[in-house]
Amino acid sequence: MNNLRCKGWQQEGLLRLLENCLDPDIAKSPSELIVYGGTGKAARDHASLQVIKECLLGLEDNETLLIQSGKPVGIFESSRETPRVLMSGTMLVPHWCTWETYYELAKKNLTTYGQSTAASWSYIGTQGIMQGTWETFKQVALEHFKGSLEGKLILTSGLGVMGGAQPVAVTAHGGVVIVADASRNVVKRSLMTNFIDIMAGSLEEALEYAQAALGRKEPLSVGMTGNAADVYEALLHKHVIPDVVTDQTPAHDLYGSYIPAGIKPEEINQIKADNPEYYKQLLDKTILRHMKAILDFKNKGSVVFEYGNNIRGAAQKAGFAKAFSYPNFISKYLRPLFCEGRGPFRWVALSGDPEDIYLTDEMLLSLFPADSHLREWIQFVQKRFTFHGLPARVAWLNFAERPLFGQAINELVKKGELKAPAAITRAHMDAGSVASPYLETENMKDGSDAIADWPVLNALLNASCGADLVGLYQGGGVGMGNSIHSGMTIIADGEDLTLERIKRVLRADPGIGVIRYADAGYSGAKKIVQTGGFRAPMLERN
Amino acid sequence: MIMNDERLFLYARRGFLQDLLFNNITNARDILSLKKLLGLDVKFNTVFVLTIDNNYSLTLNKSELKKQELRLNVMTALEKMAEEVGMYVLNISEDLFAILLRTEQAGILDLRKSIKIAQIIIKHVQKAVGINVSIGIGRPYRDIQNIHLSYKEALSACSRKFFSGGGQVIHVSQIVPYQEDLEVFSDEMGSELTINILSCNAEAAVKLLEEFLTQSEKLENLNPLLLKTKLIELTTLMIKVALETGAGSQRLSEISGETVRLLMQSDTVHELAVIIRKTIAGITQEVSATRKKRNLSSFENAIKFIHENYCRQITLEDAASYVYLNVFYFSHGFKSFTGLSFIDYLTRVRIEEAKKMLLAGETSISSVAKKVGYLNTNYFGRLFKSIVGVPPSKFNPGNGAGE
Repeated sequence: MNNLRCKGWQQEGLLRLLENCLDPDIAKSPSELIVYGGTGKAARDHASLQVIKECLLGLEDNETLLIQSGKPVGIFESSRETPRVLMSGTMLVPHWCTWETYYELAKKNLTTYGQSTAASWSYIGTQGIMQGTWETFKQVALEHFKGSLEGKLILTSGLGVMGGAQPVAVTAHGGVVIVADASRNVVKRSLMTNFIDIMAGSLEEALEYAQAALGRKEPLSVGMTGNAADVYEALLHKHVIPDVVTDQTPAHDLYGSYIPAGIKPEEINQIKADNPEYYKQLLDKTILRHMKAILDFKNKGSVVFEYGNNIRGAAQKAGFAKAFSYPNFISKYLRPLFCEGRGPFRWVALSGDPEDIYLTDEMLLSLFPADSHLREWIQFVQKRFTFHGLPARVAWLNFAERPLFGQAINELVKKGELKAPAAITRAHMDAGSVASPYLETENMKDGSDAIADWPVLNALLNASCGADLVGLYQGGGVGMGNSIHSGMTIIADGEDLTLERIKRVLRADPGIGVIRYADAGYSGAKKIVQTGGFRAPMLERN
Repeated sequence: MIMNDERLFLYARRGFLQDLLFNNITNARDILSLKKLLGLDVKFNTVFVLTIDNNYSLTLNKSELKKQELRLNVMTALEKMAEEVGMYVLNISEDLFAILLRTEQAGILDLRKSIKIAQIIIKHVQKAVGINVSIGIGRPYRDIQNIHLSYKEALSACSRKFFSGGGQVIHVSQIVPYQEDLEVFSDEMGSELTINILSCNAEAAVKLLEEFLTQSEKLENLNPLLLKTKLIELTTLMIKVALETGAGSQRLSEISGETVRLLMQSDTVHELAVIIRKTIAGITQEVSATRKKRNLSSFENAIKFIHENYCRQITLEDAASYVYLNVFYFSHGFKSFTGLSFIDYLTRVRIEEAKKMLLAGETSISSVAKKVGYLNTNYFGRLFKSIVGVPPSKFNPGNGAGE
């Protein structure tokens, strides 16, 4: 656990994170170096991976390793206060930033696609997805239902890796959810792994279960096999109007993964091969019906939002003019959190011992005892989640909480209460670290959706403040040409010198997010800039 | 008695692992904390299920102590391996063990590796205990909370040894879902079986059912439960037929109960065959014993019939049909019952009656012949002489003077 293979814990910590990303318990396909999200890789190829490891093993405390799209390209003398690893990933000059060009370049082994946290070696498994979904439904409850989903019916669809978290999140907040998936196998797998409570044989049966649970005000998740468009229409026909309607069908990959109505999953390949045009027509037909049903629910009073699967974009492309007449979940529910620099903060026990994480959980709750929201999350996640790979925890902390908690972690390491140092990191979908006009920065108040200076500044700032790994990447989450985002990791090794860096980085990293939203005109963020001791010259002047 | 910590630990570990396999721990944190507290360092992600092949035959007529010995020997062999390779072993039931271990998760290569490990375990147990075992392998689950799924899969994989026989390693990903189609069974077999039981032809009945099992074996994906159900149904049919012959209902219900229990427990087709052979033997024995008892009275009745009707032209067929027996069967049975064939017995009765008449002073030989059922006086005379030694005319000493 405490065996240092590298010349310092900074290098060792990063090496362990890289190895963790490719742990068979974590990675989607370790042999191909694919960590998650389709083809998100942790290194360019096996040769690069090998060299990266060797570089980290030999890297001095005052050296910095440069990684260009997963390939180690240089080591320079820097200082103890600066990053050990700097990365840039999947960056293409904007005019050339298309999948076609990317594939051409990747074929020549000039670049690779790292999604988000695969590239920055900070992927920790599905807990992050669970936390995002949990947080979203919490915000839905707070915004519309006085903080609880008790007695509320939620309708959604799609039980894949992302969507599977929905039923768990809804029931965690006391609600009742009916979730449809076109594949019976997927529904069954969700049932086996406790992601849904009951598998219903029909919509009628699902409704019976749901209504009984609503009557008793008990949480319940009911999964059923069915095409989302069919199920949504049938519910409308029955005049059942859920309190909340969303979906997580794979509409972002319409041709590849979305399943048209009337087609069984096992029939898809043949139809696609025999008559791709006909298949496309079926897809369009279904997506139009799906979208119309969602909007009908909206008109009849349901709370409706898109869950980041770009179904609105797909429907618009298929000819649905008003597809964008409802919001996506981030701009609607998570933006207020981003305004206070609150986002997907996470830390990893480099010892590999779960008890280290449970100890930090307790430390976190004792630091913020009044935060019932945080307590609920920690209790929930402790009950529901074990760890695979290195034990890690996600918690959405704000700009003020992060540096405090970072210091506390460093203190635990210093006192030897943790069995080894911890890595402090985050997802890329944070307040100041991403520009993504289809998701995180959709419909910004000042129209700055596509402005990508912020994540670039965020990365430069984190490097200046002394994070141990800083990287800037393109195309994560929403695909080539659609996003720019940065990653950050700092290793808490218990040293006093590190403490200063932790304080700086954990203040600056979410801080630039607060400034970004204040700059865009969000009052919550503006207030924090005024009272939180930020230096934002133009905002000060106004 | 105070147990030392080590032993307490051993029991606690077993309890924990068992709860884990049965999905009885609700809190993820508890799982991790207990695992650590109990010093279970191996990061297992896969469950193997090991069963003793032909356990029924192996333990037949053995004492509980002997059964225990077998179980513990397997356990010891497995635990010895566990120490070397880092895995945990649990005894789940009489012939079933669970092994928790780590297999990697990179697809086909690991599948082969898992199978190889299982083969090594089988060989080891074979060598150490001298018996055959089979292993079912579940999929690896990266989340320890889902390890019970791997266990369930391993169980289902292991049940496939039913057709493939012992010494097998079966991975859950290699199995095709069971065929649940009842039409694989023909109904004709029932009526054929009925005939075999009625005629106490155990050999033919066994042959019929063995052919049926061989046919079933070819349908690899047939659900063993379905096959067992069918055999239970056929057993019930045989029992019913046997009961109708008047066979002892207590013994038959014993046979029926025992058969059902053993059929359900059996884990290979081979065992099914052994059990069914024994059952058929039991049923036919019971039918034939009852029939023997019942036949005694049949022949007594037949004798009574002969004594009452010797004066008429009765035949073997008449007697057999009087006691409701098949002529052939009656003829054989009558001889073994009386020591004489029907016709010899009838002749004796008639001659005895004739002697009585002659002694009583009857003088007309032709009248006597008619009265005892012979139309031809000469024939009667010849028979009489051959049995009594003298012709009827010379039989009554008192009459002799008249000639």
